[in-house]
Amino acid sequence: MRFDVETLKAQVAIVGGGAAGSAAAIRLAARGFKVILVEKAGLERSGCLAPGVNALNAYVGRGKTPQDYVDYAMADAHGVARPDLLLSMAQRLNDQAKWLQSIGLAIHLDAQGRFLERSWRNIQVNGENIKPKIAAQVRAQSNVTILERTVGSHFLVTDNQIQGLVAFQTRAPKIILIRAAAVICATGGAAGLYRPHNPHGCQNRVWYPPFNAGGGLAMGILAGAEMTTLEMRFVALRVRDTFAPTGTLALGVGAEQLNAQGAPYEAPYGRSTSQRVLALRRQTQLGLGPCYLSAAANRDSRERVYRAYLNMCPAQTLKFLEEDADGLTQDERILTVEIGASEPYVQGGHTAGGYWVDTDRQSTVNGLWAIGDVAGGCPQKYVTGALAEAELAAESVATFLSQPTNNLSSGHHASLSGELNLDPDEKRAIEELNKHFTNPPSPYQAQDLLQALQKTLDLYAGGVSADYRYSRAQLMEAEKRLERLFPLANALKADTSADLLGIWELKERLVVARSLLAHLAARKETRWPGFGEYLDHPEVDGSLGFINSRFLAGRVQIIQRPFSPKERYGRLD
Amino acid sequence: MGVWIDPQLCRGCGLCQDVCPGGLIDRAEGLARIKNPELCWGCAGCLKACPHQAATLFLDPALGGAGVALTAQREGNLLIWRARRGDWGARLVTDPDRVTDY
Repeated sequence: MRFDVETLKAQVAIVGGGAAGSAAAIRLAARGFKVILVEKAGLERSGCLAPGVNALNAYVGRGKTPQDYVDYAMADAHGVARPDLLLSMAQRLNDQAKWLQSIGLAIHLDAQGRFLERSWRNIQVNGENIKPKIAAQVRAQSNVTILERTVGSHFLVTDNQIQGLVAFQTRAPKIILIRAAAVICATGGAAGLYRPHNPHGCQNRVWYPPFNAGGGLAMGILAGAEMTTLEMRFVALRVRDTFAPTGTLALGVGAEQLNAQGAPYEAPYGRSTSQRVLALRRQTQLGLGPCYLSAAANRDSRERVYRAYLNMCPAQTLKFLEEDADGLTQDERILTVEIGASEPYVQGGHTAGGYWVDTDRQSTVNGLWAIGDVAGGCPQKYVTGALAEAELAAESVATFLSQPTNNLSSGHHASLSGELNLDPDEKRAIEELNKHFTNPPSPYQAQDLLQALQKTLDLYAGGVSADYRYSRAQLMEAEKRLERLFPLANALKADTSADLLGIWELKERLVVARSLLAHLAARKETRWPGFGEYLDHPEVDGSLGFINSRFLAGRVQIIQRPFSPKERYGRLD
Repeated sequence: MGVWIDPQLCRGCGLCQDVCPGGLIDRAEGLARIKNPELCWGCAGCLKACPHQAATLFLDPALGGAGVALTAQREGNLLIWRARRGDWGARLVTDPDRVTDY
């Protein structure tokens, strides 16, 4: 089998149809631009919002200002974030909540008809259908060509100027070459780098969407885009086993976090996201685990909690029901779940790992923007922050395209073209995909190499088995093991497009992991002890700034950038 | 973890195949089938898309599962969720268009 190649042209191509990518498509189409939206799955249930959500976690509550949100997020990141990105996002958060309400999202209102605040940064919603509703808005735009079951594989960049991208389809043997004046990367963060907490059989019952393989990060790294803060891995504190959110219980029904002796334990460790993970880890190390979230309940409130979880994490409701069916729920007056910490992830929605962008969300590659969880420097963005970034990028893209030199000379409409005049980069990308069909049989499957990657990072780069700790020598061992996997991955054999997807996601994860290891080694301190402890450097080093990187000449090159708060960052700052 | 598609109930409409974010569902002999149930995230998109309650969510024993099967049925705007194991059963109703008060 080999792929057929088709070419398309658009003013703007967007990779990734989750919350950020979908919103960018809507905003740009509304401004009259012709957009191609590339989505790996189906638009209705893809990305982080597939199962639903039950809160909008980035919001500026009454009596608070966007600057308060910036201050909170900077403190939570222990100083490693960009105030300019946070402020431009925070100024637009509440508008995004109103937009979601306008497209039909059910948002809880108080007696005065205002959004009911669960905390000053958080409003309660029923987001079971949030993604289908956003998808419906995309489908209503005649200017948007939606390519589903289509996987972005390469950015095409000449002299640091984006030319478009290459993608392949998973249901048809087809490669699509998209030439575009502007490209927005919105593929989300990377799950599946580390050995998952749950064993084989349920290894994908993880916190982050397991289908987010870090594709956009890998494409950007290989295209020479600068990345930031990948070493700030996110470790989620969630309900043990199911990785269901805990906010429903903690904020919704006032559940308390207690150790195995029934004592509250969090306060001495601090309240940042990382410190809360640390609190659980330290209690466990002291023999005071397991730890629980526990709330007073009755039959009625139990059922409401069960229903709330059905709207965002049905597995958790199923877990409660299993306990009910077994008669384990002896006292209906107490609702208890064990809490646990997840395997680490690289992403920019909760933490700050991803593309280094200017204040308008353009990356260091001219004509390439990055938004949502793939964009770094702007943690605590969640759904509304991703939507805000989509709006900011859409405005910036519109300005960029209004300059005649930046627009495509012809073919402003997304259109098929039969003739193929491929330049060498395009040919190389297509050949890299097709090669997997013509490779001789390999003794290995993508899954085997993925497990080798996950074991390597787990043991040597601070995974769950290593209790999130790593040393310089371990990182070097990880690098050595990782390098051996690249040629094996390139030699994998695909028989179907679905096989190729598995191989491709593996290759994406290898690329992200290689950069991650360089970042972990370069941040010679322990900044976020809950998320990871660098055993050679257990203290905070105040002289360190941002750890950034570029992949040049086959190597990850580290760039240190000082924290020098600027109101605006340009593309060369 | 897993979703199991009951071949007795599946009519082969393909709606589950279109919503699965992992592309884990294909068709064999006209019926939907999960190729790699171990790769399921558990988002339940297929349960909510299936018009015949053929798509069923189970919890792996490692997650505390002990055989309860969960299905969803759309009735107008409502989702009727049913959990069953032998003689034991539970029913929950959610309304995706309205906030859950808890």
